[in-house]
Amino acid sequence: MNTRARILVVDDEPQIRRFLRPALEASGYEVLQAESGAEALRLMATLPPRAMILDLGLPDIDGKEVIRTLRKWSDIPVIVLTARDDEAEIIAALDAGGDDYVRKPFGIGELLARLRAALRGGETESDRKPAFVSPGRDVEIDLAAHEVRVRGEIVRLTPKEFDLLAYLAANAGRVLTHRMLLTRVWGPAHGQDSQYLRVFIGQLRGKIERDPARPALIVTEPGVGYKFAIAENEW
Amino acid sequence: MLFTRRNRPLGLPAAIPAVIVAVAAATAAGIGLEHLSRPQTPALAFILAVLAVASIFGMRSGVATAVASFLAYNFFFIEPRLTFAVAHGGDLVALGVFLVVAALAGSLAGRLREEADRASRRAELLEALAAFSTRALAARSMAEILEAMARQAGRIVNGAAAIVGRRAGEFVVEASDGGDAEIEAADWLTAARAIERKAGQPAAASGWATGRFEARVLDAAGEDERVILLAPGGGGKPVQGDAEAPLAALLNQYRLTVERLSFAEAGAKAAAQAQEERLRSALLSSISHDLRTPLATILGAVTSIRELGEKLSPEARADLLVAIEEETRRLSQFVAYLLDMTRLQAGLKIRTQPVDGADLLAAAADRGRKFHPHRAIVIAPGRELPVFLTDPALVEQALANLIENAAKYSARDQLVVLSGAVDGDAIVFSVTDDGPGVAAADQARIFDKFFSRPVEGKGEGAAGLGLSICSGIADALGGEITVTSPVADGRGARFSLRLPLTVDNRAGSP
Repeated sequence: MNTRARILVVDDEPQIRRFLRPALEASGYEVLQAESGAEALRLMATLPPRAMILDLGLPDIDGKEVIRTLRKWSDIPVIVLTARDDEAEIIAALDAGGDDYVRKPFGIGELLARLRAALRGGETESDRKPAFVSPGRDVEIDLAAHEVRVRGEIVRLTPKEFDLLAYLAANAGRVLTHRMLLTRVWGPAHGQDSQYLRVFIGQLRGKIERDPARPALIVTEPGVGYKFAIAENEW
Repeated sequence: MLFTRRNRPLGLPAAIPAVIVAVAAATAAGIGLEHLSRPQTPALAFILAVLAVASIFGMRSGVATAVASFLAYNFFFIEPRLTFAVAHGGDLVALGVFLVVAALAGSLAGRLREEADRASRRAELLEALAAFSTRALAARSMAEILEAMARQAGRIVNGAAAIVGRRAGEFVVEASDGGDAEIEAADWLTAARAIERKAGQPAAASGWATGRFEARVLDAAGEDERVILLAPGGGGKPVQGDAEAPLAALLNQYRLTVERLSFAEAGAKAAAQAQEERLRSALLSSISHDLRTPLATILGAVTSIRELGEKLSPEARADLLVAIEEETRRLSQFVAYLLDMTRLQAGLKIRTQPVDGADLLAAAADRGRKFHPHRAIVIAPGRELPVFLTDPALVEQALANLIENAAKYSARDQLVVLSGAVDGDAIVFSVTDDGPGVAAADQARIFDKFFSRPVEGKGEGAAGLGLSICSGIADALGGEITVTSPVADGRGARFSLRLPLTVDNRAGSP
């Protein structure tokens, strides 16, 4: 890494910032800190970071609102921290444009891994080739030819399965909520039919995973959505 | 007074003496006037008598007076006099005309009188109903409604009214119209019988034959058992026809009012429940937040040290260790508070024993110094404190929480002062700090569960349990806790724990 990636940490709890800063710095990032949503948005504009770690429960602006505002002019990865058990809250934050989430309390390793994945996902998104997604990995997707190779072998997918896989792979490393997947692949009218989704994900896993019972490519985020995993040795 | 008011026109039998007097007077006047004026004058005197009686006693009395006048006129004034015979044919015609005029006048004047009576009676009944409505609408309690009900029912029956209810098996008068209604044994029986029969008896239960009252069931449903006893004016049981309709309307309105009141109560209960629900969910999220933040810090710091150990600077590593220690303490205190709270809510066992007030203060101060070794926690010099009966563990806990609070909300170099004093039949322990004090707006809520104020310069305050535990302890010991702020120079707060000064008599007073 030539320059240290700048990370913006937004959390109103001083104790959380107290360990996040040294941990992130020790991992080679430059750390910016904000205690409120307004401060976060200001820093976003003046010292644009490469990624944001955002606590949802901020004293001034709701975390979801921060993401929504941010998304009008920036697509940097946002990892949401939440102390709440509320799945709906996480889903809303992801729907608003969050990329991934970590529940408090968390081990630093988990956060760092998600941060790395999010940063890499951001890279692939920006200079994505229309023809192939994740070439050289287990799964190669030729978007133009509607062709999928799994470990070198061509696999036949239905159009819906292909769309689903292409969407997941294009957003590798990012958690896509049920609603996002359903509206993208089946249309807005099917936003609630998560039963559909489960069936199709099951079929897709059967075709592309080495062990469909223990999926490594399409990862379930329980109660929230699915994520196309980014190959990473530490994971 | 209640029973003497003139009201409906009295019946004919009651009017007979008046008829006789009026006709006799007219006859006398006629005889007296006959020689002074024209011969028609006696006839006019009789018409006058008819009008007078009719306008007082009503139509039938008027007509009766007309007939009597006709006979008297014939007897005394038509030739041959002192007989009912008529000598001249012309007189016969005159007599006939007289009879028709007198009867017409009597009946018209009587009817007018009766109409006027009826109208004023109707007006009064309506007024009674309206008065009840007004009162019932404003009524906030059952007692008010009953009171208004008794008064207006009394007006409607133009007599006495009282409301009798059964409370825990006993019959009691819950309200009366304030009149002279004396409820006798027979009336109690009437009430008891009506209450026993309850529903299905909306019509009059005319009551014990010898009693003055008749009973109507008021509340038949639920726990309320009430009847209204009515004694119509003039002693005429049962309630007369023209009072029946307004009475029914009154009863109806009463039931609607009671219903409204019960809805209002149910509404208030539901609102209280919703409030409690909101509080509970606020509590839960607050507990969750207070538990998770230290946990998140500890886990984050520990994993940082383990996984990034070498890469962290020595200062950063040391600070993470301090953070872990601080958060672990915070967490353990929070858990201890939660346990205390649960114990208090479950109704803890109080173990009283004789204790020296001074010992309690000293123990609490020691405990405070252990947690805050750098703070000056002092006991104000003062008079000796007595030995009294209390639960020393609870008092010490309460004082320790107050010291904790004082230490948290004041600067490191400021004193925390403990003191004790006897005030009448109470012993008062207080903890005073020199911090910024408690805003007047916060003083009312400061003992609420999870009410927390930001600590100056440190942001987030505490869990907001310590003081509410103190208040719970004070309650449990039959005392109270209060806050005074500012104490001096616009600064400081003093929390006073006031406990009953119960002395152990077995051991002899100190």
